[in-house]
Amino acid sequence: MNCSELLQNLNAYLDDELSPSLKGAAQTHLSACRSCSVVVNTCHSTIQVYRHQYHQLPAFLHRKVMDNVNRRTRPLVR
Amino acid sequence: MSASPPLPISDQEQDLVQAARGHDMAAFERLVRRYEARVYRLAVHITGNEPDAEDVLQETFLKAYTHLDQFQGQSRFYTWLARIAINEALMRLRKRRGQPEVSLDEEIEAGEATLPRHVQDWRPNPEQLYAESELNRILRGSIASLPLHYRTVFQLRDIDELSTEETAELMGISMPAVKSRLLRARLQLRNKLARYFASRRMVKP
Ligand SMILES: [Zn+2]
Repeated sequence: MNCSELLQNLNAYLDDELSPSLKGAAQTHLSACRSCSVVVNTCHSTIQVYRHQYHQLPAFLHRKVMDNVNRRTRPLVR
Repeated sequence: MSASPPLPISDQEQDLVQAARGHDMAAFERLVRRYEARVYRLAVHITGNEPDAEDVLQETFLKAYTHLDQFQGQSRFYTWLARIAINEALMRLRKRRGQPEVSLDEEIEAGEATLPRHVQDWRPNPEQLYAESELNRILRGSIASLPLHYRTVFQLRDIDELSTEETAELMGISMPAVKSRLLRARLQLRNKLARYFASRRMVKP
Protein backbone atom coordinates (compact mmCIF):
# COMPACT_ATOMS: atom_id res chain seq x y z
CA MET A 1 0.00 0.00 0.00
CA ASN A 2 1.30 3.46 -0.89
CA CYS A 3 0.36 6.90 0.43
CA SER A 4 -2.51 7.55 -1.97
CA GLU A 5 -3.97 4.11 -1.40
CA LEU A 6 -3.81 4.76 2.29
CA LEU A 7 -5.71 8.00 1.83
CA GLN A 8 -8.34 6.17 -0.21
CA ASN A 9 -8.81 3.78 2.69
CA LEU A 10 -8.45 6.35 5.44
CA ASN A 11 -12.12 6.45 6.46
CA ALA A 12 -12.44 2.70 6.55
CA TYR A 13 -9.20 2.43 8.49
CA LEU A 14 -10.34 5.01 11.06
CA ASP A 15 -13.69 3.27 11.39
CA ASP A 16 -12.03 -0.14 11.59
CA GLU A 17 -13.99 -1.38 8.60
CA LEU A 18 -11.11 -2.71 6.51
CA SER A 19 -10.74 -6.38 5.68
CA PRO A 20 -7.96 -8.08 7.66
CA SER A 21 -5.63 -8.13 4.65
CA LEU A 22 -6.14 -4.44 3.79
CA LYS A 23 -5.82 -3.53 7.44
CA GLY A 24 -2.53 -5.38 7.63
CA ALA A 25 -1.28 -3.61 4.51
CA ALA A 26 -2.31 -0.26 5.98
CA GLN A 27 -0.52 -0.99 9.23
CA THR A 28 2.63 -2.00 7.40
CA HIS A 29 2.56 1.26 5.46
CA LEU A 30 1.86 3.30 8.60
CA SER A 31 4.75 1.80 10.51
CA ALA A 32 7.09 2.94 7.73
CA CYS A 33 5.50 6.26 6.73
CA ARG A 34 5.63 9.07 9.24
CA SER A 35 3.46 11.52 7.29
CA CYS A 36 0.60 9.05 6.85
CA SER A 37 0.72 8.03 10.48
CA VAL A 38 0.47 11.69 11.50
CA VAL A 39 -2.59 12.03 9.26
CA VAL A 40 -4.21 9.00 10.84
CA ASN A 41 -3.34 10.06 14.39
CA THR A 42 -4.53 13.62 14.03
CA CYS A 43 -7.78 12.55 12.35
CA HIS A 44 -8.33 10.12 15.19
CA SER A 45 -7.56 12.81 17.78
CA THR A 46 -9.95 15.21 16.04
CA ILE A 47 -12.80 12.72 16.22
CA GLN A 48 -12.05 11.86 19.84
CA VAL A 49 -11.86 15.44 21.02
CA TYR A 50 -15.26 16.21 19.49
CA ARG A 51 -16.85 13.03 20.70
CA HIS A 52 -15.80 13.66 24.28
CA GLN A 53 -16.33 17.38 24.25
CA TYR A 54 -17.76 18.43 27.54
CA HIS A 55 -21.41 19.19 27.18
CA GLN A 56 -24.17 19.56 29.65
CA LEU A 57 -27.20 21.68 29.28
CA PRO A 58 -27.43 24.58 31.72
CA ALA A 59 -30.42 24.18 34.04
CA PHE A 60 -32.04 27.37 32.79
CA LEU A 61 -32.14 25.99 29.26
CA HIS A 62 -33.80 22.81 30.44
CA ARG A 63 -36.48 24.90 32.16
CA LYS A 64 -36.98 26.95 29.00
CA VAL A 65 -37.54 23.80 26.99
CA MET A 66 -40.13 22.48 29.42
CA ASP A 67 -41.84 25.85 29.89
CA ASN A 68 -42.10 26.25 26.13
CA VAL A 69 -43.75 22.85 25.72
CA ASN A 70 -46.11 23.44 28.63
CA ARG A 71 -47.08 26.92 27.51
CA ARG A 72 -47.67 26.09 23.89
CA THR A 73 -49.51 22.83 24.33
CA ARG A 74 -51.76 23.85 27.22
CA PRO A 75 -55.39 23.87 26.18
CA LEU A 76 -56.77 27.40 26.13
CA VAL A 77 -58.87 28.08 29.19
CA ARG A 78 -61.44 30.81 29.17
CA MET B 1 -43.49 -16.62 10.10
CA SER B 2 -40.00 -15.31 10.75
CA ALA B 3 -39.15 -13.43 13.88
CA SER B 4 -39.14 -9.69 13.37
CA PRO B 5 -35.82 -7.95 14.02
CA PRO B 6 -35.51 -6.25 17.39
CA LEU B 7 -36.65 -2.66 17.34
CA PRO B 8 -33.82 -0.16 17.65
CA ILE B 9 -35.56 1.44 20.60
CA SER B 10 -35.37 -0.01 24.11
CA ASP B 11 -38.48 -1.16 25.92
CA GLN B 12 -37.97 1.41 28.59
CA GLU B 13 -37.72 4.19 26.05
CA GLN B 14 -40.76 2.87 24.22
CA ASP B 15 -42.65 3.04 27.53
CA LEU B 16 -41.59 6.63 28.05
CA VAL B 17 -42.72 7.55 24.54
CA GLN B 18 -46.01 5.79 25.07
CA ALA B 19 -46.62 7.59 28.35
CA ALA B 20 -45.64 10.95 26.86
CA ARG B 21 -48.15 10.42 24.07
CA GLY B 22 -50.76 10.19 26.79
CA HIS B 23 -49.62 13.64 27.99
CA ASP B 24 -47.58 12.32 30.89
CA MET B 25 -45.28 15.30 31.27
CA ALA B 26 -42.97 13.56 33.74
CA ALA B 27 -42.29 10.87 31.16
CA PHE B 28 -41.72 13.45 28.46
CA GLU B 29 -39.35 15.36 30.72
CA ARG B 30 -37.27 12.20 31.18
CA LEU B 31 -36.93 11.92 27.42
CA VAL B 32 -35.93 15.58 27.30
CA ARG B 33 -33.27 15.10 29.96
CA ARG B 34 -31.90 12.11 28.16
CA TYR B 35 -31.36 13.91 24.87
CA GLU B 36 -31.36 17.68 25.39
CA ALA B 37 -27.58 18.10 25.65
CA ARG B 38 -27.01 16.13 22.45
CA VAL B 39 -29.68 18.07 20.59
CA TYR B 40 -28.22 21.35 21.82
CA ARG B 41 -24.69 20.40 20.79
CA LEU B 42 -25.93 19.43 17.34
CA ALA B 43 -27.82 22.73 17.09
CA VAL B 44 -24.77 24.78 18.10
CA HIS B 45 -22.58 23.00 15.55
CA ILE B 46 -25.02 23.30 12.67
CA THR B 47 -26.27 26.85 13.27
CA GLY B 48 -22.92 28.12 14.52
CA ASN B 49 -24.38 30.37 17.20
CA GLU B 50 -26.02 30.02 20.59
CA PRO B 51 -29.18 32.12 20.17
CA ASP B 52 -30.24 30.10 17.12
CA ALA B 53 -29.24 26.89 18.86
CA GLU B 54 -31.51 27.77 21.80
CA ASP B 55 -34.42 28.31 19.44
CA VAL B 56 -33.69 25.05 17.65
CA LEU B 57 -33.56 23.22 20.98
CA GLN B 58 -36.93 24.59 22.10
CA GLU B 59 -38.68 24.03 18.78
CA THR B 60 -37.29 20.53 18.45
CA PHE B 61 -38.77 19.35 21.72
CA LEU B 62 -42.02 21.18 21.12
CA LYS B 63 -42.38 19.49 17.73
CA ALA B 64 -41.32 16.17 19.20
CA TYR B 65 -44.02 16.45 21.82
CA THR B 66 -46.76 17.43 19.40
CA HIS B 67 -45.71 14.85 16.78
CA LEU B 68 -44.95 11.90 19.02
CA ASP B 69 -47.63 9.92 17.20
CA GLN B 70 -45.44 9.98 14.12
CA PHE B 71 -42.55 8.29 15.88
CA GLN B 72 -42.90 4.69 14.82
CA GLY B 73 -40.08 3.16 16.81
CA GLN B 74 -38.41 1.99 13.60
CA SER B 75 -35.44 4.26 14.15
CA ARG B 76 -33.67 5.26 17.30
CA PHE B 77 -35.39 8.05 19.17
CA TYR B 78 -32.33 10.27 18.92
CA THR B 79 -32.22 9.82 15.13
CA TRP B 80 -35.83 10.96 14.97
CA LEU B 81 -35.04 14.00 17.15
CA ALA B 82 -31.93 14.81 15.11
CA ARG B 83 -33.99 14.94 11.93
CA ILE B 84 -36.34 17.49 13.48
CA ALA B 85 -33.42 19.50 14.90
CA ILE B 86 -31.58 19.61 11.57
CA ASN B 87 -34.67 20.82 9.76
CA GLU B 88 -35.14 23.54 12.37
CA ALA B 89 -31.48 24.52 12.08
CA LEU B 90 -31.69 24.72 8.28
CA MET B 91 -34.73 26.98 8.55
CA ARG B 92 -32.80 29.35 10.76
CA LEU B 93 -29.76 29.34 8.50
CA ARG B 94 -31.99 30.26 5.57
CA LYS B 95 -33.54 33.13 7.49
CA ARG B 96 -30.23 34.41 8.75
CA ARG B 97 -28.48 34.33 5.42
CA GLY B 98 -31.47 34.99 3.22
CA GLN B 99 -30.42 31.92 1.28
CA PRO B 100 -33.41 29.88 0.17
CA GLU B 101 -31.09 27.25 -1.30
CA VAL B 102 -29.56 26.04 1.96
CA SER B 103 -29.96 22.29 1.69
CA LEU B 104 -28.13 19.11 2.53
CA ASP B 105 -28.00 17.57 -0.92
CA GLU B 106 -25.96 20.21 -2.71
CA GLU B 107 -23.22 18.92 -4.95
CA ILE B 108 -19.80 18.49 -3.46
CA GLU B 109 -17.48 20.88 -5.19
CA ALA B 110 -14.69 19.12 -6.99
CA GLY B 111 -11.23 19.70 -5.66
CA GLU B 112 -8.51 18.68 -3.33
CA ALA B 113 -9.09 17.04 -0.05
CA THR B 114 -6.67 19.44 1.64
CA LEU B 115 -3.88 17.28 2.86
CA PRO B 116 -0.85 19.35 3.83
CA ARG B 117 1.94 17.15 5.03
CA HIS B 118 3.28 19.41 7.72
CA VAL B 119 0.75 19.05 10.47
CA GLN B 120 2.28 18.21 13.81
CA ASP B 121 1.03 15.25 15.75
CA TRP B 122 -1.03 15.85 18.87
CA ARG B 123 -3.30 14.01 21.27
CA PRO B 124 -6.03 15.32 23.53
CA ASN B 125 -5.33 15.32 27.22
CA PRO B 126 -8.68 14.78 28.94
CA GLU B 127 -8.01 16.30 32.36
CA GLN B 128 -6.63 19.53 31.02
CA LEU B 129 -8.97 19.91 28.16
CA TYR B 130 -12.53 19.00 28.58
CA ALA B 131 -13.58 21.62 31.05
CA GLU B 132 -11.83 24.35 29.12
CA SER B 133 -14.27 26.78 27.72
CA GLU B 134 -11.63 28.04 25.33
CA LEU B 135 -11.35 24.60 23.81
CA ASN B 136 -15.11 24.40 23.48
CA ARG B 137 -15.04 27.70 21.66
CA ILE B 138 -12.35 26.46 19.29
CA LEU B 139 -14.19 23.22 18.63
CA ARG B 140 -17.46 25.01 17.94
CA GLY B 141 -15.83 27.63 15.76
CA SER B 142 -13.91 25.05 13.75
CA ILE B 143 -16.86 22.84 12.93
CA ALA B 144 -19.12 25.81 12.25
CA SER B 145 -16.64 27.06 9.65
CA LEU B 146 -16.96 23.88 7.57
CA PRO B 147 -19.45 23.87 4.69
CA LEU B 148 -22.94 22.89 5.87
CA HIS B 149 -23.00 19.47 4.22
CA TYR B 150 -19.58 18.58 5.66
CA ARG B 151 -20.30 19.64 9.21
CA THR B 152 -23.67 17.88 9.22
CA VAL B 153 -22.09 14.59 8.16
CA PHE B 154 -19.31 14.97 10.73
CA GLN B 155 -21.85 15.77 13.43
CA LEU B 156 -24.04 12.76 12.71
CA ARG B 157 -21.36 10.19 11.92
CA ASP B 158 -18.47 11.10 14.19
CA ILE B 159 -20.01 12.99 17.09
CA ASP B 160 -23.44 11.38 17.38
CA GLU B 161 -22.10 8.04 16.13
CA LEU B 162 -24.91 7.30 13.70
CA SER B 163 -24.16 4.69 11.05
CA THR B 164 -23.43 5.60 7.44
CA GLU B 165 -26.84 4.24 6.53
CA GLU B 166 -28.70 6.23 9.20
CA THR B 167 -26.85 9.38 8.18
CA ALA B 168 -27.63 8.87 4.49
CA GLU B 169 -31.27 8.28 5.25
CA LEU B 170 -31.58 11.25 7.53
CA MET B 171 -29.86 13.64 5.11
CA GLY B 172 -31.49 12.23 2.01
CA ILE B 173 -28.17 11.50 0.28
CA SER B 174 -26.41 8.33 -0.87
CA MET B 175 -24.04 6.30 1.30
CA PRO B 176 -21.05 7.04 -1.00
CA ALA B 177 -21.85 10.75 -0.60
CA VAL B 178 -21.82 10.37 3.17
CA LYS B 179 -18.42 8.67 2.98
CA SER B 180 -16.80 11.21 0.70
CA ARG B 181 -18.14 14.16 2.70
CA LEU B 182 -17.02 12.56 5.93
CA LEU B 183 -13.48 12.14 4.62
CA ARG B 184 -13.30 15.79 3.59
CA ALA B 185 -14.84 16.94 6.85
CA ARG B 186 -12.37 14.92 8.88
CA LEU B 187 -9.37 16.18 6.94
CA GLN B 188 -10.45 19.81 6.99
CA LEU B 189 -11.32 19.75 10.66
CA ARG B 190 -8.06 18.06 11.52
CA ASN B 191 -6.19 20.84 9.73
CA LYS B 192 -8.06 23.49 11.67
CA LEU B 193 -7.48 21.81 15.03
CA ALA B 194 -3.85 21.04 14.30
CA ARG B 195 -3.15 24.75 14.04
CA TYR B 196 -4.66 25.28 17.46
CA PHE B 197 -3.11 22.32 19.23
CA ALA B 198 0.31 22.85 17.73
CA SER B 199 0.33 26.43 18.95
CA ARG B 200 -0.84 25.33 22.40
CA ARG B 201 2.08 22.93 22.83
CA MET B 202 -0.19 19.93 23.28
CA VAL B 203 1.99 18.21 20.79
CA LYS B 204 3.05 14.68 21.36
CA PRO B 205 6.82 14.46 21.88
ZN1 LIG C 1 2.33 7.26 3.44
